[in-house]
Amino acid sequence: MVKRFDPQANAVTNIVWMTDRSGNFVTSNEKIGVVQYWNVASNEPRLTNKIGIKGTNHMTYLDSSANLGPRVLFALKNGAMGVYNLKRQTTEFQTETGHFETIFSVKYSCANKDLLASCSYDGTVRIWNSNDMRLVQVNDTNFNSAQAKLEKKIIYQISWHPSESKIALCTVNGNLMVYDALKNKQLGHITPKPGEATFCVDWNTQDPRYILLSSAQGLALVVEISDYPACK
Amino acid sequence: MNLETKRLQGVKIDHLEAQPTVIRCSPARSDIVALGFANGQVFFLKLSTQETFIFDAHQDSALLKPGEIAPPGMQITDLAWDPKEDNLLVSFADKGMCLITFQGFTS
Repeated sequence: MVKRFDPQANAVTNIVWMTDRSGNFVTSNEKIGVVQYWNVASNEPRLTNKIGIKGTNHMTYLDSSANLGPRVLFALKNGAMGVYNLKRQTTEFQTETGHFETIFSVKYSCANKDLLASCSYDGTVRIWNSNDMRLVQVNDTNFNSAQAKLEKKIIYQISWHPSESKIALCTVNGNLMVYDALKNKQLGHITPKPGEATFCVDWNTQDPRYILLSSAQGLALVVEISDYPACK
Repeated sequence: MNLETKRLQGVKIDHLEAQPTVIRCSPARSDIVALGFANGQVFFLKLSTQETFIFDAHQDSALLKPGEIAPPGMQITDLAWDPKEDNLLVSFADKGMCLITFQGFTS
């Protein structure tokens, strides 16, 4: 016997049966952070609730014998994970967002000993407070750039300004970008060798006007960034 | 610690050209496994006897509305066995979802 349900706006990527009542199940998808409540007797979901700002990577049923009610453990596309109470329809716990791909570089800030930055294959730089590992800021400029939409978004390395809260980053697209890590504001960017990935970047600690960059073709480049607008 | 070596069993399913995307063991029947494929087929396997059964969502007329043509390449995105009954939920990349009642193998 086969039963067909009504198609939804987004493809279901996670299905979890609930054990509280026969025929109940919940679904989620990779596009938007919602759970949908279903019963096999109906072709449409009974209820749709938001659980996060990004789509869901995975969802697992947590069977609760206590009065807590049925709950699911979920992992979102933005690297956060949490516990959602299906009975109370509330998120009981949720972590900070994290990288969702390989982390290529982590660096302590030279200006603030409590701050560290990480960059990843996912195209973002994240600033963390090393005391409590709280996520301070996310820079997703490269992730959302027009160029990155067509190509990969990888950020290979980062380097802090020797005395300020600025970060230089290098990307798979050959970009060198400088931005203010705390204000999340881009200050300038340059592509010295278009189409060539840049794997390493190092901000000169003695003279912050210079940034050292390496390209995929074996070149080491010194970029002068004394005037940020000129980098654009 | 008592380590026991168990014989691993391989089942060749190379008659299916599509890639498997999901695998789920039945919680009610210990030797039944369901695999979902990129071409939309669900492959049921009985481990003890290596019996197989293929459910094709595209060709099953019960899934199609009158006059509807089955779309190609309906990749299976997830499978979920009902913990209480022999029901299997199947979701597809084309935003569809269906429920299959698995009735076991004939032998």
